[in-house]
Amino acid sequence: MSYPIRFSVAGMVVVLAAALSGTPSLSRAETPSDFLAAFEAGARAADSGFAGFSAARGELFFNKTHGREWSCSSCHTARPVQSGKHARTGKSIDPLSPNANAERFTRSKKVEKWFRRNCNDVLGRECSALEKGDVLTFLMAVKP
Amino acid sequence: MMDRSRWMNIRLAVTLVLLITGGWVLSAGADDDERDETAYGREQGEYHARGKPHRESHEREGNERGERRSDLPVPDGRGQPEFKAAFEAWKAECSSCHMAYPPRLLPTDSWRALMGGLSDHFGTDASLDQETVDRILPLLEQYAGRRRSQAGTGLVLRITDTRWFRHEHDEVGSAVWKRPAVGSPSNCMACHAGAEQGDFDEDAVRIPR
Repeated sequence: MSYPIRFSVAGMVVVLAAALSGTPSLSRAETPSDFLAAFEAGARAADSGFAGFSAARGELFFNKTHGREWSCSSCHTARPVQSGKHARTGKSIDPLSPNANAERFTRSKKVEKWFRRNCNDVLGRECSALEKGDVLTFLMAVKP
Repeated sequence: MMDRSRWMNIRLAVTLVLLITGGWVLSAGADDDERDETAYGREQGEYHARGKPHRESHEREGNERGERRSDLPVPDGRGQPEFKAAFEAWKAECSSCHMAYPPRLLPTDSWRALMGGLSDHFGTDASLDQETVDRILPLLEQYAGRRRSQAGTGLVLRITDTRWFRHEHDEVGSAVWKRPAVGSPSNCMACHAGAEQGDFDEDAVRIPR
């Protein structure tokens, strides 16, 4: 009779340890909205006058160059519900919009990695929370 | 009569021992020869040496010139969690923007330099977190190319700059590289359909028009 109790206590300890250690366990499911909320907090922290993200602003940012050779759309196309193509290697890139590709914006490690790399390639610097939020708002608004 | 048969037995035993040790010495010598031909410093089998389940040697005969290659094996699911994690990280990260070039196509020094400079990877930011670099680099080091012709003059970062690559492709004209279906010498799969699986067999080459 005491076994089930002991097992559940052990289970709780494991769950608690995993939660406290902060390591993303097997599948910490995230959604595009989670990222949007995090960018919003960042944008608000940077500017108290933050008045919300804009899909139109995001689209403009996505399609124009920023003093360098490439724009976001160089690889992801101006309609990111379509497959893109790497501007240098030609390798196919799955659609970036979560409306066309359910895997997009579901893992923070991946999102961080690609914003870091691609903002550096396109702008030569990190993107602000406002810029990321605008782009994600655009990506969530674009229709397949 | 008894003495004679006993003497025969001893002679047989001695002959057997000599045969066995002789064969062992010969085969050890052959191993050394092979190692000299292919050595780039490191030996294979690091994952085995750590007490992981035994795998067969992954050396196999290369092309008809008798060159030997160390091929990266695909994890077969029997144990080896460390190798599997490294393989999967390599496959995922190194094929995001281009095909995952087999580790044997560059020597160890080149892989170390590439993995240490990913934030400017031929003009593109391909940076990885340190944890992922530390997972992938040992795999590249272990299965790196070991032929001296793999090197160019000094440190080579591009596979297409190795002496070996230039020699193998010296009959390919510059117009062929520029064909739309080829694009550039880094596009292995244009002519080597099995490149992503590590198959560069000369007989299977089909150059697109």
